[in-house]
Amino acid sequence: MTNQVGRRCALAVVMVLAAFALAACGGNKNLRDGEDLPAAGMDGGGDQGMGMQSGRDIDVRGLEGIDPEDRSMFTDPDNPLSTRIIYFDLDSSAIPSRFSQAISAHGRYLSEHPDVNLRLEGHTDERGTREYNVALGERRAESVQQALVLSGASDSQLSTLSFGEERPAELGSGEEAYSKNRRVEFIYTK
Amino acid sequence: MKATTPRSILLGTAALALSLLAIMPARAALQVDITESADGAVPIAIAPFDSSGQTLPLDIAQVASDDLESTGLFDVLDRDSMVATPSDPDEVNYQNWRSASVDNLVVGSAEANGSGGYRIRFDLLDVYQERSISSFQLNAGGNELRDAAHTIANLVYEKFIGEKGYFLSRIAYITMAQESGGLRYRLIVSDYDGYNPATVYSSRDPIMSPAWSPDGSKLAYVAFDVDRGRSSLRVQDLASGNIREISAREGINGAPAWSPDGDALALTLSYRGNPEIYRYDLNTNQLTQLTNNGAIDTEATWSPDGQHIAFTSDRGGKPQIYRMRRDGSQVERMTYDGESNQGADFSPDGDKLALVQKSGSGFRIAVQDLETNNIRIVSEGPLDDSPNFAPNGQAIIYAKQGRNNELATVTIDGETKTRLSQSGEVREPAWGPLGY
Repeated sequence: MTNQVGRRCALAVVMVLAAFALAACGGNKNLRDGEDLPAAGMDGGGDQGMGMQSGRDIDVRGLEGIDPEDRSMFTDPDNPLSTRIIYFDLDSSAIPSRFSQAISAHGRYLSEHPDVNLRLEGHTDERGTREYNVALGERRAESVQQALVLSGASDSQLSTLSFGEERPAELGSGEEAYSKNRRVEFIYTK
Repeated sequence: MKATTPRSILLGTAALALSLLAIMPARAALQVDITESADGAVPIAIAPFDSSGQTLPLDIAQVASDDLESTGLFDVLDRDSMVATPSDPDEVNYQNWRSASVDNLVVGSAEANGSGGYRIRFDLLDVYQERSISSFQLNAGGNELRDAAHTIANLVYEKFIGEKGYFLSRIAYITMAQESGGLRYRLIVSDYDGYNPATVYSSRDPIMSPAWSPDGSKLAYVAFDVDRGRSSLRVQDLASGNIREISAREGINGAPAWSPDGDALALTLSYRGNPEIYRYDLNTNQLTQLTNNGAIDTEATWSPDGQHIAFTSDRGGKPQIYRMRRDGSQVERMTYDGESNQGADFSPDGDKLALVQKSGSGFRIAVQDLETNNIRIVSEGPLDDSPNFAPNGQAIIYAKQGRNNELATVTIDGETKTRLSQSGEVREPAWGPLGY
């Protein structure tokens, strides 16, 4: 019975994502409006802070599975494929609507390249317990996975891995760092 | 009255610590500072031990004094304030110690035993009755003086407090440091006070969630492999260093917790799509799913009788602590206080839970009495995490995040705190068994 509630909840997220509306699964996981969030497409920044330098990481590790001829599409800032980090609101696994174009572009690319695989790496900020955050990061990665499937990707191309709060894009405590750490990174693997 | 500490016990713990050191010496030891202490502590002095003119490699009296002081239950006289330094009951001028308000005095000596070790004897004296309450004798190997000092503190502690002391126990924790090759994560085991640190496992990728086997011989933990895109939950034998992989499924392999009999692990897996708690039988390798719910279920902790598992779940909206029977049945919610509660640890007597409570002032460590359900907040926050009971249940070790990423201990009444710090980030402490 409880399992059904869970499925219904997951289904709700899928439908919301399809519409790219702002909503979340469960009353307490709603988005908080008015939060100062980084702009769409912004990555962790290669030399900002002392975190995992996810900007560089995601351009090297994150594109290993992409044909070298195609890579420029993923780094051209005018191409929606260059958005390869989705940022989330506090305690939320709902994908903000400003990422809709990027999700569609990646879903289309995956459907047109069935040999390409994508790993979705989920992350949280440092608040809360570590293992719970691993689960929360997983939920974010699953949420992106469902959205990509709706945009044409196949489940078999996608996998998830959550680091919780263990690999922050930026070290430090404060909303500025936190908003960059609540994210899912796209890692195209061979 | 004469009691003798069995030599084999002392040797056993020391030998294990030494074999760990041989794996890979860690760099800095944690530094311990007492940050708050309580009133009404037992007044005691431990006079420097006589060594017949020899210089001992370790100040036994000082180490034992630090042990007792750190609990907050003893008011230990500084050496500078001592009126004399007797080493034998016959040399004690009780009047002098009474004037210094010292009710209890330990005097002792350590002499070479001819085989590279030491014969240590000491007396616990009642200053008002002017007599020895107990006298002890123990043998220590040449490199076991620190354990000998901890043993002395354990004996004194048990005499006055009525519980076993935890001064021979060890802790495990994770460090993260920025090094020339990038970030370096380490799983470290040290004495309870941060001495004798030894690296058990080291990686460029995150390491998480160390958990001691009940007999203290193994650690379960989670290691990530970023290049291969996976995590694995493993059990490492501390004496041999051998690693047994328990689970490296897709998704989460996390939050290991040993059953009290050491035969099973509770763990969190998400390979079937949602984070659920499973029981893994270490003898048969059989995996049994215990929770089945669309919410997050994780962070299992076993009740000491092995009959229940408490865990964190957001099935009610926000994370709270729930309890189920060991087969997953009869789930009930345990926490209602604060905005949310996570990361519970059962006390060794099963009467209490330590947990992380979120409220307006952040994340703080709380102790919930399971009979009355009264909750006492014992830390200041704002980002405290990973509470873990001492093996005698009298204190809790936890991690502080934010400005200083370090460890701290607090007595369960919240009165006495110590800080364990080193350069770089220290986190996820796990307190091992008593060690004797």
